Amino acid sequence: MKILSILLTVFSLQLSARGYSQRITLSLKNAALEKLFKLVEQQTDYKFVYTEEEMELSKPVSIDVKNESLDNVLKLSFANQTLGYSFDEKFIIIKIADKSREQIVSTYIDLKGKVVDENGNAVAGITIHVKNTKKFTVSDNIGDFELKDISPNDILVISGAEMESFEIKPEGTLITITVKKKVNTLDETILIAYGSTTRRINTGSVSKITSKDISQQPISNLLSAIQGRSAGTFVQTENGLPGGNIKIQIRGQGSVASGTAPLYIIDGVPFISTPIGHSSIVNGANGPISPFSIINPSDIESIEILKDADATAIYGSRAANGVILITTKKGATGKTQADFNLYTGIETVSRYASYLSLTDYLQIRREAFLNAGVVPTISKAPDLLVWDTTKSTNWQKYIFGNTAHVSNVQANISGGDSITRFLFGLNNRKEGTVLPGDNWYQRSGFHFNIDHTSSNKKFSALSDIIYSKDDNHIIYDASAANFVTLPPDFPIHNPDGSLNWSSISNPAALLLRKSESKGNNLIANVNLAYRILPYLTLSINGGYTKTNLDQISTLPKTAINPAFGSLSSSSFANSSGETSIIEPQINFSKFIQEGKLTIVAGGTYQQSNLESESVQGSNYSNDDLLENIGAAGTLSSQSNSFTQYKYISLFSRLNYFFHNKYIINLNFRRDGSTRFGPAKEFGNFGALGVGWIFSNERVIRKHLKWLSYGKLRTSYGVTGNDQIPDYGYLSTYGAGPVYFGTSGVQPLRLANADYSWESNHKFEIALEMGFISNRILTTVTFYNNRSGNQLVPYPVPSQSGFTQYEANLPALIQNQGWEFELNSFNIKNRSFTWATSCNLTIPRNKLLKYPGLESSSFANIYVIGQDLSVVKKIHFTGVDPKTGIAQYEDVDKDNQITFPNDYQVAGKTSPDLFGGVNNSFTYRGFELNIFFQFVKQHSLGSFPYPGTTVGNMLKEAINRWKFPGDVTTVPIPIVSSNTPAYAARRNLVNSDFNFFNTSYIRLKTISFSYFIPSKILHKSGLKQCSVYIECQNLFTISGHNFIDPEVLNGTNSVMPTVKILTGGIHLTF
Amino acid sequence: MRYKYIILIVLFGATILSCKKMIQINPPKNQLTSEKIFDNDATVNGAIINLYTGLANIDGNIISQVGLYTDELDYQSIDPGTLEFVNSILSTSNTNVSNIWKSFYSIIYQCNSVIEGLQSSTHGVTDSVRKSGIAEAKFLRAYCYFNLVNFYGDVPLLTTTDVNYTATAPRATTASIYEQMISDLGDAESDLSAYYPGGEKVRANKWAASFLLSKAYLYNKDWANAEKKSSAVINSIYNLASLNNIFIKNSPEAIWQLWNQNGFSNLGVQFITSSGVPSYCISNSLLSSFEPGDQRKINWVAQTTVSGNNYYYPYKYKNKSTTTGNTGEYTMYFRLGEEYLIRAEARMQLKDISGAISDLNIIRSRAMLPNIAFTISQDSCLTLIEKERRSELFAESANRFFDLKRTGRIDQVLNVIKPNWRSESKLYPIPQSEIKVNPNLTQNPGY
Repeated sequence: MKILSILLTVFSLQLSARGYSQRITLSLKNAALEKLFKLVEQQTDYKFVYTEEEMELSKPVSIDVKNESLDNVLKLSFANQTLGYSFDEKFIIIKIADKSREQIVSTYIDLKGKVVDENGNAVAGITIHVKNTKKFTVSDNIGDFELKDISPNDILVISGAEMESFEIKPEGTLITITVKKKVNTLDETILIAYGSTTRRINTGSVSKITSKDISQQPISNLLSAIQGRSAGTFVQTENGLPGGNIKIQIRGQGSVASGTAPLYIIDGVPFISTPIGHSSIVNGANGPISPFSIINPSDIESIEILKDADATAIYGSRAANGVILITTKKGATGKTQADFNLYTGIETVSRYASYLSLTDYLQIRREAFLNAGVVPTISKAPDLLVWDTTKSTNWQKYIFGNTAHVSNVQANISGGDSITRFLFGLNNRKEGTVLPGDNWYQRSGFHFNIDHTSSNKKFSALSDIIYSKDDNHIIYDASAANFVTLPPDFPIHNPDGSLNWSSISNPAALLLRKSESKGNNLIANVNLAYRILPYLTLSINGGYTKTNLDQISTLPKTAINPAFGSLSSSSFANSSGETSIIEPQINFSKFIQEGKLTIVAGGTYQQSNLESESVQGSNYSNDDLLENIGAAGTLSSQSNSFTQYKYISLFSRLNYFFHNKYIINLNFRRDGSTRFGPAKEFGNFGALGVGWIFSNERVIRKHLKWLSYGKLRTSYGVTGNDQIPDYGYLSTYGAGPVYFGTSGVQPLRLANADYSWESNHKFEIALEMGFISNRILTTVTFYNNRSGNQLVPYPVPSQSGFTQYEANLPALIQNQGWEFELNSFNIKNRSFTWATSCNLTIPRNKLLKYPGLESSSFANIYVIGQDLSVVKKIHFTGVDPKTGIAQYEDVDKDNQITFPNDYQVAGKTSPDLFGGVNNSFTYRGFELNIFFQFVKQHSLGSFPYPGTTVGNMLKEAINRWKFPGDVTTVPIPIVSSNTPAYAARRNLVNSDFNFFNTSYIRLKTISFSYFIPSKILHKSGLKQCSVYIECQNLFTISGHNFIDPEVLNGTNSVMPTVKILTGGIHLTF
Repeated sequence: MRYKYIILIVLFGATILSCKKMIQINPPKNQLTSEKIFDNDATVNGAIINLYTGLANIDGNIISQVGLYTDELDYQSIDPGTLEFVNSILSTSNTNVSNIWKSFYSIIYQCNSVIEGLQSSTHGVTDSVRKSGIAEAKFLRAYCYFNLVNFYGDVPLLTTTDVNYTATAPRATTASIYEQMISDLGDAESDLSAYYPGGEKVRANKWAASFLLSKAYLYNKDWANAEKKSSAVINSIYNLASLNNIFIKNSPEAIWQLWNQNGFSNLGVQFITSSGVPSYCISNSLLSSFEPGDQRKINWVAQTTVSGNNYYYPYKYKNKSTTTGNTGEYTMYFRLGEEYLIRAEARMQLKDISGAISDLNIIRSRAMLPNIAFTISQDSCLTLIEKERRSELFAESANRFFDLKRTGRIDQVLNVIKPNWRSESKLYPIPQSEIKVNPNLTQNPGY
């Protein structure tokens, strides 16, 4: 409310008209231009907006006028200047102009136009010069310009600071000029919350992934494109199969018990980012389905990652974990063109682990029996006694050694003029898997965008509709990868041809279990805007997204170990999530005093529903009917869930950029959310960001000539985290057990209407610098985020009816770190360019405070002063050279290794540092991109005690202790027996022996493309044609030979990421 | 002209002003808010039904563990937590000890929630359901407190669901808890019908309340009221059943049983062995306490021989797997047989020796034991009652433990057979996990 009244006051002030009598009398001789400005300002209502830089370029003025009009005074004064000027309301904006002299009246037509970039976004500050004349103008902040009285035959020269100059001949009186900006520019548009900015004047921390970055990678999930490309953003593939989930964490884990996923917004509509599947029983080998897997990466124009308080605070209660803005492609002005892009290729698993060969395996197993003094029996050692010890199977190859095919087609038609632009795209992707059998993934969809601006430029409307469906056929069992530890001599079939069920479940049986998930996703949004005054625009944004997921998994008789029954069954689940949002906004943008004031204010009303249900069917007459719920004789395990979420808020941002040097950015948001109880629904959030472009200071310009750009910015603010279960404040009853034939209802929770947001106080300071005309740009950022008011299950005595309830606790988590970014044009000449961009993040996470940690359910999980991903393990001190027995540190000296006293901090699993390096080379029509990504981290492993069980081991087991005197770190092989060596086995998996350095460097992407020269194309009618080869995850260097150091932190129980090699062609007609 | 814009802006602003109504949501479809539960008879019934299911989770544990703790049962297995009961050294982290605490308080919370819900509900619920619902919840609340005070001594007395109070509530005196129990049971007795809802004896009726009231008076040494209430039950609708028919569902003797789906009780599963040594055997002390010819020893004790050794185990419940038809069993909570023994004791204390003996003889004759002469002294009558209670009620409830405590004989009896028994052992420890999160909760002496 307050904000609104302030706004109203501001507007009323501006609206009150002032008089208009602007005759000037003055006399100057060789005076500074600035002096003239002062005098003009004294005599008129006008104010000049200029920078010191511009004044340095000014020439002395001599003028003597009496009662002259302002126009003429300016014309005279600027006659010899290399500066130009333009009017903006009561401001006269001084600009540096190339060959500008003055404005002369002599002409035929008035030309109006708009300058846009390749994506149709307005570009401000572009000089439009009428060739061979002195006429010029500069595009204003919405890209508009106007040239009066020019000849229809005039040629326009378009130039700007960060673009190559070019010439065009205007047709008609209304034109749109599309400018191509150079990469790495400071003035590239960056989308931020409810608006846009540029790197130069941004006070917040924002990383941008462009459609070019995305298009270089043949990925199916667009989140993969973020990996290694944004400082502070840690991306981890949790499952390498199509549809597998990808986890993103921006600037560390900021919550003890609540969610830490960023807020995702696609074209202004919040997107449900966590897997919506109802229950794990229907998940296939690819695990919970990532909602992003259904989004077509080729539809995406840019991904902006907002990190600090300044950039995120306007999202208030949802911003604590950062915000990811995803923007889809829009139609651009120009002739209607068709765009066709096809690639096809193969996928193989990115990496195999090294396991023991059959000979080594059998040797270790035999030693294990020998060492234990146990005679192998048929039941204990089928691998030694029953199975054919001459036949060896490489189980990794069996499970994921296949080659999958991938093909992706994208066809777009786009075009339009300055009034209406459109884009229509169709896409289809089909991808196999590296698993054996008939597993495949298919996605198809369309994208439609239309954008209209009225001819008076006052009204604009924009709409996007994106629809995709996908179909994922995959084997059921998520633990398929565990079969890599099958003994090399394990036979799938018994000699009689039946499946071998001895001791271990059978991988061939597992492959008979199928799962299918079908998804649908619709994203639609509309934006209407009306510019009621040149500086004031009202707009309204409405959006809707809906995601459905239907899942089935089957368990046919043939896949069941006959010893455990033969009841085939299947599980069915439907889930859906929808979000609708409406956001009215006011945008105000005006030059006030010596700067530009931008105010955005608006409101949000959002509603989300999540619904799901699942049921299990059994007693089928025939296993062929397993996917038919109607054929089930018995339905059981029915369950459903339902949540509704509503959200309302007011937000505003005030940005003032003045003297071309100083930026103040103020954000405020007031949020109300149904995640919180009636008394705590509302919360206030805000941030202050300031920036100082010190390179625009005269003294710095003079003395630090090598510095082409320098900005120091800092921000501080409060954001919230509301990623907690819904209805925690509501005292509700759910179904209880049956008693006396009636289903009971029981209270589900101890309701606490009194809990509130987790608040995250973010501080950041960054230094941005550009050298050699901004060919080298660097950013160094330090951030310190403290999340407090943690929402945790608060322990209460069970006399209260429950043992915990959702409550705030003054626990405090600190995420602190350094981020370094470097973008450089190493070589840049007419035919060859070499550009490098790299980033590095060094994050540190620390639990500062947790009152009552000892009595909480986290007592043995977290440690004050340590990272939240702290790993507490028994300390493995080595192998006794005499006996080969694993030794552990007995911390409490009670002569036994027990939980929790003998567990100590072994380390953490969050990364120590991570980053990426991209090199791109262009030579004539050739372009080569090489992108490395790296992580320094430790992970938990599952390296078993050698020889204990019927199962293969990693190759390290070859170093096991053999004879007294052997110095090694791998203990003596042993089987179940009453020996000290066997007793010591139990602790090995709980010791830091199983805590490994899983740092890695990965050649994430290498892409090579060739653009066929336009001379050749001209005849064929093609506008552009390129052919390309792209590889994803080509190789990985890691200190450890786990399958994939990325997936699930290095354990070998899920599917590794895949290597993709594709070739493609891109045609534009 | 400019005013137009101002008006526009104001209108525009008004639409975005936050309005509380816009963020009101309905409760989830698959859950019901407390208010919704208490606005119709059907869901109220569901909430009350659920109070009983909580008991099913604990009865098996309570009875076997307390049997081991006293002189009823011997343990033949190795669970460390259970061995603490056998050896009379309960640790403050014993999970059985904390489960009893947790389970009873969980039911108490639900009872309080039902009582509060029904009291504040204004429409939709018929008066009769409201009245009987509150009464049933009060009955169950009293039942829980009865067990809690007898296991733990002073415990927090909670009659509200307000977590701000309950989370830090200190222990209340046993006397004040009995006062609450007696008041609750009085309400239950007057508000509950003599008929069983649904026809089976698996929900409390008026007489169940009277029964527990008689027991509470007995424990409080209010002999006259104990006699009055037990007479009321005895003169009501129940009849003694033959020994092997007592525990079948809805037997004429049953006052309150706990329902189960498949016709067998948890206690049947726990005690009856199909092969091997039974985990819970009848102790020598109990076995030798039966008088010769006591049919209860024959019908309620079973024997199995493993490796030449004889093991005896409780066999009151005969079923350990699904049993349909008339021989299905429910777990017995209150029965007429115990009521006779309560009245016998009350009458004896009221110096009505002949009345007491005649009640005793009713129970004895069912066990085919000779009648006791009406001429014995009050002291020997007391001993006889204790013995009779032991033979009649073993392995059926916590009666033996509670009886020894209230007669003050526990140390004398258990010191003989339990080397680690201490006087402080007559109270279970307050679970350490509870003390950790409730600073106002104090530990019992000796722990």
